[in-house]
Amino acid sequence: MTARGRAILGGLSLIVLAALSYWSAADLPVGSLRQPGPGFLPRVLAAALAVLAALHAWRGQVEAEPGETQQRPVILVLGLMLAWGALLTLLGFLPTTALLLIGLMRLVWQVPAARAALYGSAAALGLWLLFVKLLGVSLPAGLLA
Amino acid sequence: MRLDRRGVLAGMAALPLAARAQDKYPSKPLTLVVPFDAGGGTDQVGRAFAEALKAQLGQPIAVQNIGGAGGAVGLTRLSGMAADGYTLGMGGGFLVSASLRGALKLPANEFSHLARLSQEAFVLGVPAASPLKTMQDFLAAARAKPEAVSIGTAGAGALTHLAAQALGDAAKAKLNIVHFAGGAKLLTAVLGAHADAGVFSQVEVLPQLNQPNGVRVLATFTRAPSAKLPGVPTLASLGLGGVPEGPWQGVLAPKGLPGPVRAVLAGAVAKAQSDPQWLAFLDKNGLAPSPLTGAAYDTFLEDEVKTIGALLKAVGLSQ
Amino acid sequence: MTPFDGLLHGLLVAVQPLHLGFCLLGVLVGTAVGVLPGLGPAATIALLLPATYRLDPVAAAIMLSGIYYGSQYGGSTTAILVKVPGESSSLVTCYDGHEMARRGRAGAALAIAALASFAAGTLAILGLGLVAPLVGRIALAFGPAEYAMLMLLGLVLVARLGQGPVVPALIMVVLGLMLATVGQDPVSGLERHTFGIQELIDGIDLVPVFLGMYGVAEVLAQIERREPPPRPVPTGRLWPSREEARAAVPAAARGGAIGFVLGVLPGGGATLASIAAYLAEKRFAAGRDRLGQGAVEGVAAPEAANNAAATSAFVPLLTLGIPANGVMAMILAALTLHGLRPGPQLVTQQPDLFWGVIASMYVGNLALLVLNLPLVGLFVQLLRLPYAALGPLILVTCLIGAFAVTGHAGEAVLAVAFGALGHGLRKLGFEPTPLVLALVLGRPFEEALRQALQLARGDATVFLTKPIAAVLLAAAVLALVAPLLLKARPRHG
Repeated sequence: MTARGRAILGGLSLIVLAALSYWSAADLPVGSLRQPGPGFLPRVLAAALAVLAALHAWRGQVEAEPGETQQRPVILVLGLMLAWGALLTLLGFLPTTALLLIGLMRLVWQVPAARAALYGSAAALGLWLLFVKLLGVSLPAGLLA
Repeated sequence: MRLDRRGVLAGMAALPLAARAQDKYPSKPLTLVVPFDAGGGTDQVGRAFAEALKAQLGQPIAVQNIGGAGGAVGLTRLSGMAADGYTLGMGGGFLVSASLRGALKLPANEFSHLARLSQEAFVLGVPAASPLKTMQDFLAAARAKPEAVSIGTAGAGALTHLAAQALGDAAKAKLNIVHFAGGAKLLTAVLGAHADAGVFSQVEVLPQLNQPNGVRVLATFTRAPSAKLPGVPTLASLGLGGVPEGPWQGVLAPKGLPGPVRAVLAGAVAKAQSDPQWLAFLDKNGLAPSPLTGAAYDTFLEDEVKTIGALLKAVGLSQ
Repeated sequence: MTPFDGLLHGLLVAVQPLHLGFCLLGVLVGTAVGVLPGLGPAATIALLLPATYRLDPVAAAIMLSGIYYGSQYGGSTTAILVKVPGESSSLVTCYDGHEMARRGRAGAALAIAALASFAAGTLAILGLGLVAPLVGRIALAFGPAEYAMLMLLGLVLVARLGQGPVVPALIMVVLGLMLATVGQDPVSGLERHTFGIQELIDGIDLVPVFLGMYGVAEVLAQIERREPPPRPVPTGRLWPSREEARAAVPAAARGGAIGFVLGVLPGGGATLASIAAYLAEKRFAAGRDRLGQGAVEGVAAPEAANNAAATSAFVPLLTLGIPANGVMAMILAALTLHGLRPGPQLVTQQPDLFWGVIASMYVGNLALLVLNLPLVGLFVQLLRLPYAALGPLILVTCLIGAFAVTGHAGEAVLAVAFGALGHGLRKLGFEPTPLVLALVLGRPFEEALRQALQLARGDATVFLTKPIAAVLLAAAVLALVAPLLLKARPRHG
């Protein structure tokens, strides 16, 4: 994509966001200067975003960062992290976190399986000791309860 | 707020245990859910009461804070927990309010209300240097011109807001009601004379009394005069009725407590309410003991739903 | 009692073995909480509050305050090393702190952060002891009108914070303000942009946003490269050079002064102070042209400011009984548990508490310096870890930090979502900092603006007739138009 193309893409997506936000705040009363209502600022912000986004799409230039990029590992990381959020209460902190660490090391950073398993479990145990034992944060115990 | 291991356990273990637990209740530790973050007023009342109740039941009681959305998050969570007598919760005026406003998607009677515990007193405070020296001055200024007197609250929809609205209605005056995010910011605005007056909990202003730059109290909202504020008139004595007296706290459980369990709990709660340490705690924090149970409590709750509902409608915040 | 007698008396209270022990415990926990991203002092104090039930009130107050100012020391560590702020008050330290680390000066950056924190912290305590009653009145001079203009000035400056073109920065400010409107509007009580989700009623918490946009997005940026850029390796000597120290001293002094004043204001606190200090450096520092490219001033000023603010935040609490921020509200709650209600009489009625807490801060700050300087060498070694180990650890710590805010898995999901958003925005040429800072300033700005208008019964000239508000408004206007005017004329060296 060209530098102009990236600016146009960014500008247009923000204009869509501005429209959505305006729609979401449409029911809120605007109020008056004497008693400004909850709908006032959201509307002003939506309008400001639309104007600025249009300006960005019209004149902006966004140079790509140098170097080749790949989006597959990015999506993989986001997916693994969401899985942590979904499984945390069910399985408990220790197993879920160990699995996430092993998954990240093996699938994203291509660490050999045995080493990933060893480091992942050890790190999860360390984090558990640090947060739960030392700092008293309540994290779900799940299966190990 | 945090997912307490004990809380989760109590929830998971509830079903098989419910039958057996009835033989000899209580046979294991209890959890008291406080639907606010640690440190707030309801949290302190809950912790103090848990201590008193523990002595009666002979089992430890763990306090679990689940805050958010004015108590709605914690109460919703509590309503889904087992009604086996091992999970209790703190309720109060905020429950009625959250339910009527729609943040809590349950009516107030979807819980087993065990007892009312305590009552906090609202007061009307003005800056010490204010030209409004008495409640008569306040009323005269407020009636002279609409919105001539500004009165701060601890947040829109908070009980202080409803009380300010009711005060204006009773006085037949239109007050300029301004909302602040919490009692601390309200106190700052009144101390700095940015707002003309404010609705406070009695305990918030006690350290500010008789100070050159402190707060003067014009009236208390409770029906009986306050022992801590000698010489300060009550709203009722000035002919101003229908104004909420202040927040109250109560103890409750998920709906559907088994009869025998409820009986044991009710007895323990009643005895705990005369615990000397509990009474000392209330006194130290400017709270009044206000035990109420059974049918009288149910009637009180129905009245609360009606009066709070009417006030919320008046300020445009009911669902 | 004169302030001098008071401090002496307080010192005697503070060095009692019990109090000393809880002071050290507090700063130790505070350091850990500060270093770990997401886990903040307010949440930690809430966790420990029940445990203080059985302590004597002075010991409880000493320990809890230690957690607060201790956390301000640790917050910069991860900001410098891996560009993930440990606390929101170290957000701006990411800019120059991490840039320094990338140039091999991680050790110097960490040492400067610790030394600036110590210097500002100790001087602020002196200020706290000597001028507390005087400064306390400042808090009361700031009503909604003054506060609204202060926030406006902050927002204007935030938009001009980065190096790049102004339109994308303004877009980020607007997006941040939009996020700040999510939740229940405190002025009307109506819900905005919550889509019926109960957990959104209290608004979007800052922690998952900054963990996502810095921590997660930073790792994503690393792994999307087929050929990762060279990792920073510590070079040269570990400690600051003479030139670095020379630049840091005036910056720390400026930052400390700004922090002390802003910490006193209700709702001010360490985050606002660090932002303001950084922005002041951008205008006034001798090396302002290097700011953002690893300038020492960009570390010294905000780190001095957040420590000074964490100390001066005690002023309104101890002299007026008003908690200036969430952490102070927690400490107030701890005192209330013991039946102590701080108010104007605290200093005369509870001299042990008043002077004991203040003096314990000296002890605590000294302990923090002794604790933190040796840690510098250890932390720098973290940079030698292979990224295959560091990357996953950063991601997991971000998840835990977000989860710990409320104990809902939803907060962790939010951090992932903001990670994806931050990554996408960066690819489209947007820098996340103005968004995060606008999120911090947005709510108090809107609240104060509306309260001010309502108190003035709709008279918008209130912002011009109140002197403090007028000065702040003039500064905001100047900050907005001055760069445009300067652009029109050729710039003088």
